[in-house]
Amino acid sequence: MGRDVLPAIIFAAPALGAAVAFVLSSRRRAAAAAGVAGVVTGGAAALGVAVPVLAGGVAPAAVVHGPLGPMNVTVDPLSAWFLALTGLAAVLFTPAGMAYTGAAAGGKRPGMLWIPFSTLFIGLCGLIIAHDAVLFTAAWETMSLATLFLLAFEDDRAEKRDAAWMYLMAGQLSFLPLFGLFAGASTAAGTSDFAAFTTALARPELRDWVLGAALIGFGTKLALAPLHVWIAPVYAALPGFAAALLSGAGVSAGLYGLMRVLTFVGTPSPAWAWVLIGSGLVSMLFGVLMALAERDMRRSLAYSSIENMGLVSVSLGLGLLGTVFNGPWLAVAGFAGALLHVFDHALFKPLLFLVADEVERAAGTTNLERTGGLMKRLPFMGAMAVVGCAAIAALPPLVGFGGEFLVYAAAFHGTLFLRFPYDIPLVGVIAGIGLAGGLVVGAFARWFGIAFLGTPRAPLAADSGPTPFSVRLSAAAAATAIVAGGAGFPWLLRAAALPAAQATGYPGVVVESVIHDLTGTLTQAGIVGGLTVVTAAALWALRGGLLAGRSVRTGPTWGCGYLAPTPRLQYTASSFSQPVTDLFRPLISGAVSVEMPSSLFPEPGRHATRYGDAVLTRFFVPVFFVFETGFGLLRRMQHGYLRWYVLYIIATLLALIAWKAG
Amino acid sequence: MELVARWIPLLTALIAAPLLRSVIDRTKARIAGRRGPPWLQPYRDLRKWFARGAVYSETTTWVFRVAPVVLPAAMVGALAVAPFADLPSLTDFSGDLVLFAYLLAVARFFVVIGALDTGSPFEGMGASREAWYGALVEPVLFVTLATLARETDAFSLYHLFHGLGPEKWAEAWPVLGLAVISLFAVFFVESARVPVDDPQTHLELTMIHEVMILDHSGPDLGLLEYAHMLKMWLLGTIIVGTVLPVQAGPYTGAPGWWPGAALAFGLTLAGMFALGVVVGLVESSLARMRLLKVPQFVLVAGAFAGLSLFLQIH
Repeated sequence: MGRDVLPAIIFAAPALGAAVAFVLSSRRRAAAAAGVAGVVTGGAAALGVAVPVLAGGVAPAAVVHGPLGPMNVTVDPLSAWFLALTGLAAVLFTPAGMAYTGAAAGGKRPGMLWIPFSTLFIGLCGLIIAHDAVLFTAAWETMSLATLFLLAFEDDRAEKRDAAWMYLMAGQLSFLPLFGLFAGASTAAGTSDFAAFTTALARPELRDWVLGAALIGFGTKLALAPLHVWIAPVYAALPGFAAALLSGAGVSAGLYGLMRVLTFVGTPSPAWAWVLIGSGLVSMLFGVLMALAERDMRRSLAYSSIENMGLVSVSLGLGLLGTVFNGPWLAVAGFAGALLHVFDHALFKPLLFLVADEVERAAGTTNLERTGGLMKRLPFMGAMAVVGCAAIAALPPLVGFGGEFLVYAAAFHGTLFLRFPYDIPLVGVIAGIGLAGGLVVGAFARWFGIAFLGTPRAPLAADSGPTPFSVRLSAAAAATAIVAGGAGFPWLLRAAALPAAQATGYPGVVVESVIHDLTGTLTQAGIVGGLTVVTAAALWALRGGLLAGRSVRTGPTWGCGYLAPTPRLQYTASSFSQPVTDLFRPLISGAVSVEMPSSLFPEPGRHATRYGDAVLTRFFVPVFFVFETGFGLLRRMQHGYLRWYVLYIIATLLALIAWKAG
Repeated sequence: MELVARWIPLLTALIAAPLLRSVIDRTKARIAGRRGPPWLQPYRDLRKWFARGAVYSETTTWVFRVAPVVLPAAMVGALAVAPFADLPSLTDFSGDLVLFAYLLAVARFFVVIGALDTGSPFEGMGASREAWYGALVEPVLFVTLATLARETDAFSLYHLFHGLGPEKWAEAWPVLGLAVISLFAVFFVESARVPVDDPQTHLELTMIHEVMILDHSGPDLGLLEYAHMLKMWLLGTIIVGTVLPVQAGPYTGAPGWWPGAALAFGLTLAGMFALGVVVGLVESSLARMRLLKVPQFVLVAGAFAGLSLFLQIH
């Protein structure tokens, strides 16, 4: 009885919470509390359903009766991994939503926020456990529209409206291939049940179309370059805890869709693996370059998500190479790497979004050029930010390192396992990941260092008060999960064994032996990481002991004798990344405008740098402009003359009668 | 007993790393016609720093105080997987070269944020340069290690260097030679020696590593300098391990193993000495490059690594 109730709670609790929040709309804190409680309960229920399946338990299944007939709902291992991820992200990060009331919410009533947020969570969980094409597409659209309404919550601000439009366009345009894919598959299989798709879609002539549609549709959700243009405005427009759920669990829905479709098509041609790897590498490099160029903290995080999802795509491609060329080690390492990296991402990216929210509260802006020295005002969030940035830079012994290690292991193994000429591109892949990884370390040293360290570059907000308890709770929980995940990474990898087995299609014994190898190496890596931490602690104690009883003074920054620095002289975010952004200027649409003083006497000069999304400005905007002007011609029909409209109606009726009669 | 053998590389590094710096300094001095500082001068410097008090900038936070502690710890972690003289490292596992590179990245991350913490434009400049050059050098290091790994069919540093014996050199010397050149380039960039960075100048145009640690004093400075010496030793063992095809053989526990191991150890120490002399010669004969040329330098190193990979295929 208990086992049957849990899956229902996943959906019922958030719905109830949202309803209560709507009813209690005027009592803001109570409404927020109801909304938070609903989603957190749903998330905990999701974890409760998913974790036993990952541990080897039986997959719960049910049948939902919908308007088009019975629809299958199952939590098989692949679904369980993503359900656990979504549930964990909801449990960890939704409590921060308690702080989003009153002035923080722009004076709006929370009820209108918690309905779309709860619906987003319900849609995410729904699409993960749906094993029926109708239910899947319905849940996907629910998730999309819920995000749209979340974005429209503060629609009195122009950039939020623009973000909502961008999301609508991207969401609906990417939904078209998905709809075609699932509708076509249902027709080919005769039923909309996923179980029938495996045989129906395994035909070679269908495979490429299926994968192409899936790559466009799910790739947009995953923000793979060049389909990434929606992510920066959208993440910048959402409140912290909503961006947290979307960046943690939302993008992983894209990976889930890709992996599910891959289970349908069996063994595709190796070209698709190279497409995944290639677009992944492009995403990685483009994402980190834009993250280095972006001055807004949230947009920088969004672009770094592109980099993370690029790594996931590379890992998926490597796994696919393994299945295509019948290399179990490569397949398992690749797929497990993708699963684990998207899990890591759901822990550290949302944490950084919460930090960005707090920076905005304390400094009044998220523009890196106008922040600085925030560690003194936000000591707790600053410490959490160090953990988050170190994790996203994949530094051992935190959780981010394990995911990246798996991708490297797969790539190194691939260079030996694959025959010529496939082994050469994999060395290029290693080099590409190495470069992107190195740049990410720099990007997040910049993201954290410019905002939190040094002195404020512009006056901070007057009386911002301490960080709210709910935000601290969420941040601390996430940081604990990051540290624990790093220490316990071998256990996380073992939990991914069943989903990896399902994704690769190899028998459990084979998968178990690969996972055993990998957990062995990761345990030893963890031991070395532990040695590093212990040594650091010992050195800290040693230094403390040495300095006790000696003169320890404070003074102004020495800076090699430059005793009059002003905050404006510090390195800014743009100057920190200038060597990189200068070198790659064409890729990031960089423009520099300089006005030098021209006369003998001192007069003002100006130097401005501007970066943009080259894909957006050079491809999507012109293409949409063409469509806009094209469809704009149709506006001639909307002239306002009633007589013409009546004429249109009569003409249409006559045409219909003629067609029916003839 | 095997456990004792496994501690030798780490302990050798901890004790002898400052000596590499004195070899380089004395070589440079000899070429300049001087006698140079005493052999034990780096130890005296370390003792001086550890005996002093400290001055901290008011702008700095705990991040500034954590950086000098994390750097030597990261180097110790990297030393735990780096073999010496074909003796096994403290631990070795498949893929430990990835951990090696990422522990260097840990050190880089913390020294960069420690530098940004001071709020000085000077340190920010060093942080920016270090972040960029470190990122550039990582793919070169990975490609070179990947080439060597493919050559020896091993993904663990110990097994990789164990496989680079005399017969491997005889059969694949072009590949290994080019890999050594690219490793030298990585060495010069990561340990901030001329022609990439001048450790003896304090001029704004020419500093990368030195500028980031300007505000550290006392034991902090001692820890950072020691970490830098360890890093130089680490990268040096990689080069010497590739160049010198010594073979101590896997630990057998028999008494007959120790003389062979001692010979390998002595040869590798001599190799490190020779490396110091070579670095000193290079530093004396080259001027520091313009900073804008450093990415080109790294690219050339990458080209060598790529060429060595290409030769390996054919």
